[in-house]
Amino acid sequence: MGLGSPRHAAAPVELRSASAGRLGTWMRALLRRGAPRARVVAPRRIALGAALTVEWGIDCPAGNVTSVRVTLVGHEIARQRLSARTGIHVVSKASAFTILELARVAPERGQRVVYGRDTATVPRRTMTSFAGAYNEIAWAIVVEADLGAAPPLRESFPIVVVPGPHA
Amino acid sequence: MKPAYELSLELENGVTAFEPGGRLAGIASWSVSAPLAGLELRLKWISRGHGGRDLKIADTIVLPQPLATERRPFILTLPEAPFSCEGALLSVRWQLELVALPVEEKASVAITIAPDAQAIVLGALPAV
Repeated sequence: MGLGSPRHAAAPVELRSASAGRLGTWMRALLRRGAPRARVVAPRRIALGAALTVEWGIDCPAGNVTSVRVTLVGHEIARQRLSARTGIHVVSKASAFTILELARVAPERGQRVVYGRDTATVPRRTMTSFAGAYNEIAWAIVVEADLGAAPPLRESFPIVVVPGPHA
Repeated sequence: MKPAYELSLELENGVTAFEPGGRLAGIASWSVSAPLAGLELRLKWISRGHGGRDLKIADTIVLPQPLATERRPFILTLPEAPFSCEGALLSVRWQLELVALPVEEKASVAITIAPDAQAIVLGALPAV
């Protein structure tokens, strides 16, 4: 149920988007080869109070990125199982309790690749990740980009926040 | 006649809030009129949300060969996580229980495990 107790941050790796592997995402990517895509390189786990360095980038063949915001977001998630004739449905509610801004940039027009490397300190007094059957604390690095007239891009890259060293 | 179970937990200096990984000491006391199969200390956390609750026993300490009436000191090393918290959608609370077996009669005390020995309060922010 818990998500482990190792205190030390892992080495940075390219993180997988929360939407990766979903059929809809795969279909959209197949149909829209030129669709923008966010990438994030960061540790999979980070300790409270530690410095989190994130390398992020957006591949945007249309060159229409007008602004980018990268944040570390902590969410509470509560699930409810509802029984119905058609089966059991799970309804989730989520509420953000921490939004830590890592980057906010306005790239020059026409850039096909926008990237950056930014660092922020994870708060020392906040919740670590945990996941139960009904309740969960989840953390993610979120990349949001405005694309002019096109729908905005928003991709979420889950990471695990673990306890840090105590004074 | 129904057997009587008197169980109680006293924490050292009455302290109920601790740092993660901290030391919890106290005395378990009991007086029972029926034979005991055993006594256990259980440290557990319960997360409650709008849809249900998750419960996990983080540690169990067996108190061997209990007498019918006894006061027994104990020391526990507390876990690192999850922290006690109160949020917009869920809470996490810790409890130490003294459990008489096999009847599962219990005495319990609520404790806080969090940095600075204060439960984390999660404020709701605008949706992102």
